[in-house]
Amino acid sequence: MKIEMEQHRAVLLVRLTGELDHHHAEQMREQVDREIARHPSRAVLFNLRGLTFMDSSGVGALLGRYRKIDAAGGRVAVCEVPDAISRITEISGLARIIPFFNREADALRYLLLGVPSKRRL
Amino acid sequence: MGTSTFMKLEIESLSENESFARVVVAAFAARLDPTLEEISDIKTAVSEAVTNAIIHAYEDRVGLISVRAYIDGNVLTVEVEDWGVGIEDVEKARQPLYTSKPELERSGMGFTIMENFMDKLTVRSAPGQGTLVTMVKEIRSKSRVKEY
Ligand SMILES: Nc1ncnc2c1ncn2[C@@H]1O[C@H](COP(=O)(O)OP(=O)(O)OP(=O)(O)O)[C@@H](O)[C@H]1O
Ligand SMILES: [Mg+2]
Repeated sequence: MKIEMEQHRAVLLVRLTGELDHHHAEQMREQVDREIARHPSRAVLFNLRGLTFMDSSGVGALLGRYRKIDAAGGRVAVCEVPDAISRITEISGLARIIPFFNREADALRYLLLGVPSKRRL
Repeated sequence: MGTSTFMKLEIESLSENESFARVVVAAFAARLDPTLEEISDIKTAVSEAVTNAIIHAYEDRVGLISVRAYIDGNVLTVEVEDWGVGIEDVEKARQPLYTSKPELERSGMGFTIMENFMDKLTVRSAPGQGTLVTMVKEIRSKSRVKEY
């Protein structure tokens, strides 16, 4: 599992590559939470293009990050879900909770326009 | 000349074995010429059952998990067995969103995913004795579809 994080204006962009199962979800949780702890109410975008596998542990880890960021007043979105994992995102209900976008640019636009306005004050 | 119709894998309940178990079963099922989607379904279902054995059955200790698979015609049967804590109320455990471990960011979707990704799911369990999960899937393989 590869976890790449980069800052795109007010958005933390997290690119996941490999298999997001119970074994790797732990690692993702730790790294992303450490980064979020520095900027509690920022927006986070998970780009899943590189994922070849995901099970309920991955769903739980993404939902967990969503709940945490949402509770702190931040926003979360998911983009570029590959075919191999689109069914699990539907059946698990993940796609009905977190906003999904096909294109990264659209997700970024949604997050940047939606960032709480107090950030600009 | 015969074709193999049975496999058995015994692993310790360690998270690094999750990918190993699902890849082995998927490789065994490959002789039925499944589609990419069917392979992905099988891998996901196996991963759910094995992960449950690691997280729920053995919790903080390391125990043995047996993964068995059978092929009969174009039907694949997978069994995942543990000798851990067992399940008190199987009917309740199988309900979508039920989890005994919400604090671990579980969402209670494992059994629902197994049910959706395979054709049939049976769960036999006894508290203190362990759990046997049996999953059946008919493979509607690419080449066979073309024959008719
Ligand atoms: N092998 C097992 N041994 C003991 N208890 C189990 C086992 N498998 C499942 N359970 C029980 O059944 C419940 C439901 O399992 P299920 O896989 O549907 O959800 P979960 O594992 O809690 O969450 P998720 O799979 O979404 O991460 C579990 O919370 C656990 O209490
Ligand atoms: Mg589970």
